Amino acid sequence: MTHEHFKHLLLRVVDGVATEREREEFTAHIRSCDECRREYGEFKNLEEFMSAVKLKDLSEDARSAYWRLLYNRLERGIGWILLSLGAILLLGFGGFMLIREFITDPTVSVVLKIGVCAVLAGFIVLLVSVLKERLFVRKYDKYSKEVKL
Amino acid sequence: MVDMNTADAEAISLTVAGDKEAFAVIVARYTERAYRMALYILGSEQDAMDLSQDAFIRAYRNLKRFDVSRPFFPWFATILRNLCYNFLRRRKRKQAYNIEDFQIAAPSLSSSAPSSPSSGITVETKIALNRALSELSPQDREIIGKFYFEQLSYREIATELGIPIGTVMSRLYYARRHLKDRMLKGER
Repeated sequence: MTHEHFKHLLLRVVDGVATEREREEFTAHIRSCDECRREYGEFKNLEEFMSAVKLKDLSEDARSAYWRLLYNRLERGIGWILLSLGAILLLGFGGFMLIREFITDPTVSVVLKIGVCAVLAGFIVLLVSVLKERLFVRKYDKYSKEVKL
Repeated sequence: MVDMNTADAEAISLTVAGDKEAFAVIVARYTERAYRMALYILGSEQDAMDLSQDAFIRAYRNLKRFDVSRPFFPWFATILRNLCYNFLRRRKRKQAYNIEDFQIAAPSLSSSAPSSPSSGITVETKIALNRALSELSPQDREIIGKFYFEQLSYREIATELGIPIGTVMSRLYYARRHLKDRMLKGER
């Protein structure tokens, strides 16, 4: 009996879904195999223990709070989107005006202007790069990689 | 007028037409299941609450694309699972696992569970089980949760996870073995 075959058979026997023939095959095997007999015993103990364990149900308070919070988030979603868009537009416009004034100011040195423009250009490149990465991850990430804690 | 007897497909169609109360029916129907599924993967009550709500919000925003001739929960479960694993990937670097959050209720003495020495679960055993579950990988905890706590069959688990039954059995075998080994280690 291969290990792969045994583990499937063990599960079927422990879960009570094995056929009569499978049970006989399994019983015959564990009579002559100490390791498999021990593993079967441990699995049986686990089954007995786990069948007696229940997870706590959500309380009534938690259930009603759940929908209330969810509803609020649904309602506020569009508000946050509009607020964010408005803020981005205003900040963008304000920033543009500020930079235009700064660039056209003859009292500011050229070196300083180049420095500020370089910082801004770098910021824009980084922003676009991050946005591209986020969009790429969103499109292609299948979330199928294993996550180990 | 929607109530808890309204079928998923009808409630979803009404929601798409703008009836938020219809979505409340869907949420009420699947709150417990969604919360638990997130709890199995995340192991944290607060995170399970937040992420399952996020999944409902995403589902709500994408309901127009949902095919109402198909069952709602497997589609929703995919959204929720993706959110949870994505969250864990980010959290991995930020926060250690909080084992205290994985709450387990001890069965009552009048439980219909088979009579055995393990039926009277002690506080120590509960702590050991909590710890053992917390030490499992999210994938192991998810399949253990579906099998033991939701009491789903191999076939139902296969449908929910979108994997063949043979893979379910194989994953269940290793998950239970990991759980058993950690429980035994905790007893020593």
